[in-house]
Amino acid sequence: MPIESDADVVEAVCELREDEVLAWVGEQLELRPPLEIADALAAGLEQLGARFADGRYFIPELVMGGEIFAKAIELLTPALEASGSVLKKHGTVVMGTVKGDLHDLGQNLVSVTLAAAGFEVINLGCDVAPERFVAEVERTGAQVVGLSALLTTTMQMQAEIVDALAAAGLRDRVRILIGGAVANQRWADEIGADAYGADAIDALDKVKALVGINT
Amino acid sequence: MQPRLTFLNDMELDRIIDGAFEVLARVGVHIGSERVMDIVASQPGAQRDGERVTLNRDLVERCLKTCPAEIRLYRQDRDEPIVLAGDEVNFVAGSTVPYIYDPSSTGLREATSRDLVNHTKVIDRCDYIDLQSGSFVPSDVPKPIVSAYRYYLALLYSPKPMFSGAFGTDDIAVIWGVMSALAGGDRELSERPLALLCVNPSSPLGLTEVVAENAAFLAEKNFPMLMIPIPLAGGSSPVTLAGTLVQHTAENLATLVVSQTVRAGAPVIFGGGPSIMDMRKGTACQAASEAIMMGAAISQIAKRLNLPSSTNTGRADSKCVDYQAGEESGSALTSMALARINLIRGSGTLEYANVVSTEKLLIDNEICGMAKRLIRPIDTGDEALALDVIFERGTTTTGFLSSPHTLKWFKSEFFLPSDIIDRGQRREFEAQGSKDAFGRAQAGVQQILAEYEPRQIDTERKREADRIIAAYAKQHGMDQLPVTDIG
Repeated sequence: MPIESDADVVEAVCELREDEVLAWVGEQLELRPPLEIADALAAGLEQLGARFADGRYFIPELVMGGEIFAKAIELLTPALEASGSVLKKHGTVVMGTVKGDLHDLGQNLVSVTLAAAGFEVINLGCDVAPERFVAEVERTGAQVVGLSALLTTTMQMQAEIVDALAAAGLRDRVRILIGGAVANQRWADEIGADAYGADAIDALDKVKALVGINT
Repeated sequence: MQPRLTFLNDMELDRIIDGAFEVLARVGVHIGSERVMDIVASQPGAQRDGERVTLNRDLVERCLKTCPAEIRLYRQDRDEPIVLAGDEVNFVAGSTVPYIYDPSSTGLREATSRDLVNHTKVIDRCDYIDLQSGSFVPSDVPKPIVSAYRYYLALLYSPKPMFSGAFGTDDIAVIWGVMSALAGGDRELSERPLALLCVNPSSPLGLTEVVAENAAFLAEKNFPMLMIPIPLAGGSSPVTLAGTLVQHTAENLATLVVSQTVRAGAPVIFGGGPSIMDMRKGTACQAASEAIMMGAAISQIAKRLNLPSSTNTGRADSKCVDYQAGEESGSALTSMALARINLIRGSGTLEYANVVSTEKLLIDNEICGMAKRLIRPIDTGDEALALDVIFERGTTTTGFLSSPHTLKWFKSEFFLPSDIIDRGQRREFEAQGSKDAFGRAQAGVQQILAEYEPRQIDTERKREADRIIAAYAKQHGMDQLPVTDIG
């Protein structure tokens, strides 16, 4: 089914028709401002999220939809920069799994969910040292940093990173979210983090609250 | 015949094992410790590339050849060993969870050292659960001392062999010290291991610094090491069962290479915690049919490689001790016993191993007892066939209840569950308050705790264990540990 309208592109994003979506972006760049195109793509991603929320879609489809969206936005970026327009973002979040822990499945899901909801996400992957979190928060001016630790062996590192951010004088300007199988709100309180995200959807709600978006 | 559950034929097993060899040769494994990386990378057949090292088939097969096929563990109070080899089946209490199931409040709360002690007292009385575990991660002691303190408490409160792991590279030496003190010395501990320790490779194909260092530590000590990769099918490993099994096997083999290159002949157990990702909820389901299928396959792969086996199975995904939990743990524990896994680990756990219920442990204990009966063959010898008994009694109206044959056989032929499993008449059920299995287990737990009598332990050995754990706690800012006496 060819994409002939913004409604069609919403459906194409939902049906994960990557090639068609990207081709459509290329065509549209000749015809309209990049911000309008981005809005149409975002509507597609939002629809995909709604279908996931009501149980019609599954996580792999949500993840794949997020990747198609990211590729489409990449195609738009030069035009966006040339026209001096900026995509509206809710804020920037630095995400990563802490040093010593190689599990980044959970934080990747959170990253995708945040990106789909309109956040700029800097995903540092796994095994990330405290100094790298500090450097990235400094570089990007992120409002939120997300620290994931799956293991009982590595949750202590979340505490060390909170301390490292404080030692670098960044604690006042960045809010800290923690997550992972053995983390909880009490652990967040104990180590001086601002919030605990139990899963991707909860993490999104917490990040929105941290940056002051009403949900 | 021996009853047995299998899912793969020899050709299919070899395809999985060959696949694992190929993965290690082409992708290799990440090793987060420079010291261990140097040891592994210096082996012929190893090729280092940054933090990864590839391992060729010759090297892995050389390492496999030096692994013992049998491991023996010992209770502190008995001479006969618990054997991990061949078709032996042993059950292990589920462990290392932060929460205890507490139906009186919100359903769960963070566990404390006292919960760990009480749970251990109950494990001690579970006749069909062979190994204990430091079931909880107690919230009332600082994180760095948790793992060593769990070994200390568990081994004080029950003589059953302890299973768990170290959370860091410092505490494993403390755990060793506590075990050695209680065993009466390093040599005694090596000769009669009263515990084993696990390491968890990270999927996909990663050994963190803690895992690599602890694998090396255990090999240096020649102490039993259980390897537990926990690939999550569809998340941290391929969505297909075969693909996950290939990766899982490669993760075990890579860890085994660390062990054997540090010390050839060090005892290792081929273990795993197979699970699938629920594609709606993103959770790691350990009680799914597919997890059971992979668990049985892990047993087959271990036997093909001539290694003792283990799986994290019997854990329920349910949030409460309900029909779902019973279905999940019942089918998993039974299936894994039929699959002849040497260590089946998970009794008592709920919610993807985040929660332990002491009541569920008591119910699971009965399931373990039934499973142990289930794997004993149907005896068809002359006496069991009972032709003479039928010739004699088959034409009478007296039945078989008064037959000497019945008297001789009924206790060995039938598994007799405890009162947790209700087989009585309704009249009796109503007279006892019409309790369901959970209610009966609650009463059972209360009774065990009320009846508890402290076990005798060598004063000198305990004093030395006390000294080690107290010094370590102090080092981490805790002057007084919550529990140090047996009582």
